[in-house]
Amino acid sequence: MISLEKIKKVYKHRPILVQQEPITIQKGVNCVIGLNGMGKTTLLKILLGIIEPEEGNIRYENRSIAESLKKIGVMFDQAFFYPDLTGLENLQYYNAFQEEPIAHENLIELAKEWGVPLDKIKVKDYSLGMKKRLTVAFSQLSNPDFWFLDEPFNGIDSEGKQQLINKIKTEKAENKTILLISHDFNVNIKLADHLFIVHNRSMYYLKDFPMHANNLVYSSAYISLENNKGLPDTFVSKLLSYDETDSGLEITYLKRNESEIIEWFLKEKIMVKNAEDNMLAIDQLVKYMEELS
Amino acid sequence: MLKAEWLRIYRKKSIYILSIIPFIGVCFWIFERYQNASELSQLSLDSDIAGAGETIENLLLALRPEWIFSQAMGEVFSTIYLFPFVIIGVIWVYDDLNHGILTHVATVHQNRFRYFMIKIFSLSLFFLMTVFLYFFVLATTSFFLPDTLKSEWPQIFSLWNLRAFCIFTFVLLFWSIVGMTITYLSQSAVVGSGILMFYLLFERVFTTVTAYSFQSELLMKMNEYLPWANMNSLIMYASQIKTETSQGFFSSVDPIMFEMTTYMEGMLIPMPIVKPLYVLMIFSVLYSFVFGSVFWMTFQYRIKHS
Repeated sequence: MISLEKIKKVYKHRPILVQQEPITIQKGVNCVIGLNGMGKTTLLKILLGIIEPEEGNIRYENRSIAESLKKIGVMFDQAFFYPDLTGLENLQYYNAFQEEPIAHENLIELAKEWGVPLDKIKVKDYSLGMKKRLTVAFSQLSNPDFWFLDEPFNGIDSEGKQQLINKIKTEKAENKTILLISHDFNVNIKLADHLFIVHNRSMYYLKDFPMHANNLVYSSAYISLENNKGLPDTFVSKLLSYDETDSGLEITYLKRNESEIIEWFLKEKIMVKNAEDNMLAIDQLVKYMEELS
Repeated sequence: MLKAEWLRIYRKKSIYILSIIPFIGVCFWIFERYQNASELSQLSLDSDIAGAGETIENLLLALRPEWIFSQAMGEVFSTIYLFPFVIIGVIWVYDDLNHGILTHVATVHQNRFRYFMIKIFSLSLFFLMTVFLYFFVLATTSFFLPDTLKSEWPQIFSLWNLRAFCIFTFVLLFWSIVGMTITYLSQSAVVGSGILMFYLLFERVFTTVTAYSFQSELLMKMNEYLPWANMNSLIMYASQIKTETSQGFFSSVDPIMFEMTTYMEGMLIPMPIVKPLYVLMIFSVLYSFVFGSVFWMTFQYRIKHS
């Protein structure tokens, strides 16, 4: 668990992140969501001690950030490696500097696990996906108890993405604390145990997200109605929105209404196309959390 | 950790190339000395030219085992052949800035000073090895000179040369740290090396020009303690400028620093000066502390803004 108390970060005399209520980041997968430029990466850097907030305190299971660094693994959204070294050499380099370096054999195992080439290819010749894999391997160097991932799925191939999702699930099963910053709402919805929202300079934390998912997740689907048959009013009242498009009638509905809507589809023998889950807009999520508190 | 740092440096070809460039200056210096000695030895003793008619052994004194290292390196350090060495310092750290390495470093260990010191320590070792390489090559060269007696060979390991070795290594490290600091401040390798090279030339020209043009004792006093003047004076010591042998003073290195000591028809005349060694050491420690501290602060700043 990570406790955050009254964090305040100011940039050029302007507050960019202000925490109102104390937040305890729970074990499991914590999905951090927020619009671009709202301070998600700043939050990550504050949690790592790279940036010091003007006010507030962060404790990792009652330990300071410095004391906990050896238990933290981080995967940044960019690959910060020496371009003239190979992937394995970069891992060796950082391993030498970490507080508890791992054995060379374990390093090779780690590289193999994440598909980091063991040959002489230098990092400057790596593809984006290979760099991502190397970044994941770097984040796992210390077998961390706190694993922070910043946009881990950007640029990674589907196989790598699945491997990463599986790893997140494994780490979660081992009772570790995972902080996942991602714009991939589908993944967030599937993995999130808790929700951490950064919006309009404020931070909000929703514990046990699955319990609230029915109110916060909506599905969108395309349906085709025969003979311009209209939607019954009782059905419309269950929807968030509906709109005529080239692909058919696009409807959106909250998860909590899903069973009734599917029942109606089945009854009316309506074909559903491209149904997908998504999260409510940030404003609505924040409003929900404020109402809860 | 040092091993990891070597692993990184091992792949930096530019560092090897830059280390070798000053050899060109050394070779020219040896060639020029040898050629001058050959020509002067053939002139008659009556000639007005200094050294004319001297024996070639005397004229080649600067290339003897006892002198060659300090004299040749003094030449390198007093000319633009110093620049490749200081650029090495900039290259040593620029990758850390350019590729976001500091961001990762900040997450792998709570003690960032450890990483910072490894950079300086590894660079110190590199300069020690480089200066030793120059020492080895120059010593070997002196053994091939005509009429070099075997009894002269142990003189290469004199205390003079040991002192010169330490001073040259220190001066390289000092200017490299200054270059690193400017690189960190500006976040640019070009600006880092450019400003440093400009400064080294500027202070040199400024000191000389102001000595002759302004006749200001206060300005001259200040000039004596500026960083380049201080390091240049150390090089003078390393080059044994104060040593006079039975053959007379032969140092090829001109201090270029001046003090107003003589009046001539009411005018102050600038005279070359080298400050006492203890003063130079005090100022060296002071400057090292200042630049080392600024470097450390900019290192921390760059991590925070990485």
